[in-house]
Amino acid sequence: MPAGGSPEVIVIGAGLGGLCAAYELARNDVRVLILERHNLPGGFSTSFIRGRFEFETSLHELSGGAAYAYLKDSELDLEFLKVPEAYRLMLTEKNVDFRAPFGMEEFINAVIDAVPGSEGPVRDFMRVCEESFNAFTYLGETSPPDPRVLLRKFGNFIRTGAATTDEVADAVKLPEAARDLIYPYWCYLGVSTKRISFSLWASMIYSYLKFGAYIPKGRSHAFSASFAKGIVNAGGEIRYNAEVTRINTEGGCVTGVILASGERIDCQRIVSNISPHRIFGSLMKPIEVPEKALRMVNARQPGFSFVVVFLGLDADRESLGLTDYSYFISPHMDTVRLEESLKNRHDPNPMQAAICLNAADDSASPPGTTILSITAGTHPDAWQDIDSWDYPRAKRDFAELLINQFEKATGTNIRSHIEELEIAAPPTFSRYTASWNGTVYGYEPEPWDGIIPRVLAENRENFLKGLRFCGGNASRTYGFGSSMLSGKTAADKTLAEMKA
Amino acid sequence: MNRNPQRVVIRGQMKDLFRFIGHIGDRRRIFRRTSADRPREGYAAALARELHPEVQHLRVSEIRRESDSIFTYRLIPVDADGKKKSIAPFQAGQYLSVDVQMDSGFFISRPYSISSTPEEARGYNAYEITVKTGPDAFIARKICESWDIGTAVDVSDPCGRFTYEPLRDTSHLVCLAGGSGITPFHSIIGDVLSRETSVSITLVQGAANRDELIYNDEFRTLEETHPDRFKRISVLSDGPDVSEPKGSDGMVRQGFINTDILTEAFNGRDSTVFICGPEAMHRYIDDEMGKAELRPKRIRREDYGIPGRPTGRGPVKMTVITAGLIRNVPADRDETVLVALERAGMEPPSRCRTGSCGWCRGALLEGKIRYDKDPEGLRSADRKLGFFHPCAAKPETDLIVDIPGKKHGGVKWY
Repeated sequence: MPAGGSPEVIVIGAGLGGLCAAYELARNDVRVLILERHNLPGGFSTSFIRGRFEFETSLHELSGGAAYAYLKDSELDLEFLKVPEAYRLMLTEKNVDFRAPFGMEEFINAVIDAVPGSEGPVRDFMRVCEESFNAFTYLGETSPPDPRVLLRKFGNFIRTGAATTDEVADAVKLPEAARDLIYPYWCYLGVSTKRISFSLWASMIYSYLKFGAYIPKGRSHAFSASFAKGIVNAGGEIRYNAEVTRINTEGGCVTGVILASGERIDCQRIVSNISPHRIFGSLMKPIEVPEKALRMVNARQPGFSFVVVFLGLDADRESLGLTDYSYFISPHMDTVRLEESLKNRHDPNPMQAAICLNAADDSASPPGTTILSITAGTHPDAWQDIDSWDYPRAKRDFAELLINQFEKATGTNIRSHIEELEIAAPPTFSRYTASWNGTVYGYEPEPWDGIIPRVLAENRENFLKGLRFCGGNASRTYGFGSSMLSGKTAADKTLAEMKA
Repeated sequence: MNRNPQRVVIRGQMKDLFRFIGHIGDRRRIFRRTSADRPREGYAAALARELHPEVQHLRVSEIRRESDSIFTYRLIPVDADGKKKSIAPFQAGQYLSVDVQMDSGFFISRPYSISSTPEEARGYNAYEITVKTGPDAFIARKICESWDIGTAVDVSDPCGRFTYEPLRDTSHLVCLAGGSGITPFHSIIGDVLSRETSVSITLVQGAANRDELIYNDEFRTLEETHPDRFKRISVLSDGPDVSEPKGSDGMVRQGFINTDILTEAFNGRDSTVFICGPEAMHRYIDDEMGKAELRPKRIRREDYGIPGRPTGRGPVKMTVITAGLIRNVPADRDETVLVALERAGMEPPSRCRTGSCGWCRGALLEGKIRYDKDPEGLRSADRKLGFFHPCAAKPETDLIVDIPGKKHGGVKWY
């Protein structure tokens, strides 16, 4: 226990949000204790080793926006590498092979070159994206925001605030061929452009294109390990293999936790990196769970999951012909159909996102080897028909399909160079992170559950006094940067409360 | 951006504004019409629980003598709460971390390969492990002396990656087994021969003498059932009775697994080699195999333990922070940090005990450690930031370490 006895704040879960929250609290001399059920920090932000290869578990790239700036200023022991290009897009049914550069002007020009006559709508669309991003920056920096400034400077943000991405694309008459090239990042939010909150989508794509993207040296485990070290150095405590099985409350206030070992720890303040589904659904005595909290939980959609094929290849990237860092390969870019296909584990032609780590980090693996990971979305329910003894085979079938699809689209030979192979699927994520049903993102940000409604409703939806959420389910929504910074937000609010 | 800013209108100027403001109302309306039942997690989580239970409570249901010093134990689930339990599924070649109770009452865990094939195990709802006892085999001796029919045994979920992978491996496998390193091959060979009809296997089984050439009957049956796909070569180090071939031991050679025997096993085919046995055997085979210049992807290994190189430099003091408590624990420069923790009865988490799985990961806060064999699974950021794998690390000086609390009783599935 940190000096001074029992903790002032307990953080449940050492995912990026929980780590960041605890780091900020510890640096402000708060006695903070993180309880983590796994034996490692990080949640999704981690790595694993097979033979000669250390694989990145989940991070494709961190945009050079707010989270990157935070880490650069954080005094954490981190080294970053720049991702060379935004993405290479291959739409196999449409004969599209498009390289998207970073840089807003460069990106716009590349789209205009590929889709003649699209300049006006493309520029309009990207400008609204920029405005959304700027409006979020304004909202983040100003509290409370001035409605007049919002209306005067960010009129488009207000008018598109309740819209989906497709609605805005329709409004600016963005041609389909241009949408094909601009939409691939949809898979990083996991909700089709027909359903997803435009402002969130816009702010994400703008942040990537404007600021570029980075990866940490040492995989995203470097984030987690350096946060963990930073927390301990600042006087905080982290306990691994320490799973919270009960949250105690009294009269609508948090009073502490009980661990699986039976140990009870009293505390009036909890920052939860684990989902409201878990907290209200299974960690509280049913009689103590506010009915409104259950309605809130049931109304929200926990999102989808991934299959990831991690490949350690025994040839260098040049001889393999892996020219790019980030590949999006898909039959088409109709995100509604692609989203629908997530429910079908046997879809013969899904969308995949492949990352060749060595293209951004030439020391990612030993000389003469390459790391390639292939990711495809999948809905956890698509794994319902599997007998548990056949699960390895089901994963392998999916992996083989993705490898074949990659080889066919890129004209490369991967298969004969596989030295190490690991496959993650929804049960894998459930096992290691205990995310709800193995989902990888937080609640789906449809317009009614995007950032703005979440922020505006935060106080009203504070169903249990002393409990605050961070991580992918919190108000900033998900992704590496948002999950992490949600920890900073939770810490700031907790500190303000403690001072009051 | 050289065009003038433009108003984007979705449904109409005012409608968009009201829609923006109306968000909160939408949200409340959606909540109001949603059920207040407790949410139920889906099948992916159930599958994860089934595949990876935190602990499996088993009991010994059968003991078979393989030789004077080798015994096979069949372990079946203890049914709980009136419910029939099933063993967690596994892949041929995986191991269980088995908790063995010592005289002091504390438990020490050891990895044991599952020797049954998945098909057999599922049919019997039981795992089998084969244990070789001996004067130096401290834990194995304890098992052979104390386990009887009905003995309760806790084991982990199946783990390990010493498995055949069709997307990676060739259609001819060479399995090199030394001593009790034969146990995972009993599972792998049976499984691959029955499920992967295009794969053939050559087994090279090294043992001290005929008595220790275990699973002989099972392998003979496989040879008869799959004459074109399964061959075996037995290599006896104590000096075999080559003069007296029984015909039942496969082809018998004398000495150790050397280049000639490897050449015979490969027979010019592109092969994936699986090696399991004592550390000395790995080193010996590496030298012999070096001449063949195999691609690393063609060599799959299962290590048994960390090599010991005694320094004779004696004891150190270790301060251990674990689960919010501080303890002083004696340690020795010639023993791993994990063993010191186990001797102190702390029941620290561990799985592979060879530095690769990372289950025992801790933080080195002060002092120096050494690795006699580089811990393959230690992450690069961990190396840089002072985290370490106690199962592979030996103290060089007095230490202060932060070790996770024990895993059992730590995690419970929802």
